[in-house]
Amino acid sequence: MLKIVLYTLLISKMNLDQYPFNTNDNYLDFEFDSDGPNGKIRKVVRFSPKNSNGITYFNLGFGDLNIETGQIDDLSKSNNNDRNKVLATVASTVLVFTEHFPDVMVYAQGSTQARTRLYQMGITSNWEEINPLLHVYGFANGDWQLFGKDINYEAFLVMRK
Amino acid sequence: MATTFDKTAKDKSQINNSVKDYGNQPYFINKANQSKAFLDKHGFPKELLKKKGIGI
Repeated sequence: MLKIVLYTLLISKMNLDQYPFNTNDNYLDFEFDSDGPNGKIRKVVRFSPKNSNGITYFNLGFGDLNIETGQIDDLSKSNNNDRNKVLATVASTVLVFTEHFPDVMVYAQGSTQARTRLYQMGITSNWEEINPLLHVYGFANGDWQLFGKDINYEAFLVMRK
Repeated sequence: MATTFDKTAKDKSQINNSVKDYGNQPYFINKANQSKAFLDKHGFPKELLKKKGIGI
């Protein structure tokens, strides 16, 4: 009984810690709304198929949708005081995407070093939940290596276990 | 293996065909091209290629 209560509490806590998101039937595009002091800001995650050296992978792109122009802006700063919630939501889109495409690799790199560092924080913050599900590699010092929490990486590659 | 995070991710996701196809967004195209340049230069983790059954 205690286990059930604790499990329910854990689920409830996680539900609060990420935003609900929508995807379309190709599972390549995801949208959710950040909600904070600066109002609602539409966030978009796009998994773009690419090929390198004969190997297909998907690039994770993430940015804010400018409602007026219809364009994605990665360099904007929302300042909606919900960074961890946004990062957890992006991590969730990766889980849903890789559930539908379990054999593909997903590449992620921020537009700036600071953005890449944010991805790293997102992985670190959700590591206990991500680690059982995904192989996570980071690129540092000229090579790919298994993800470690205290290393600054240039890019990331993940794949379902 | 399913975890609570996995379950939460599924619970939080919803199919909604009003979600646009962003494949033609210049920002995402540029990002994907940059990733290809990076991977063309540095390659993939050998361990992941092995898991995909790609011999090295």
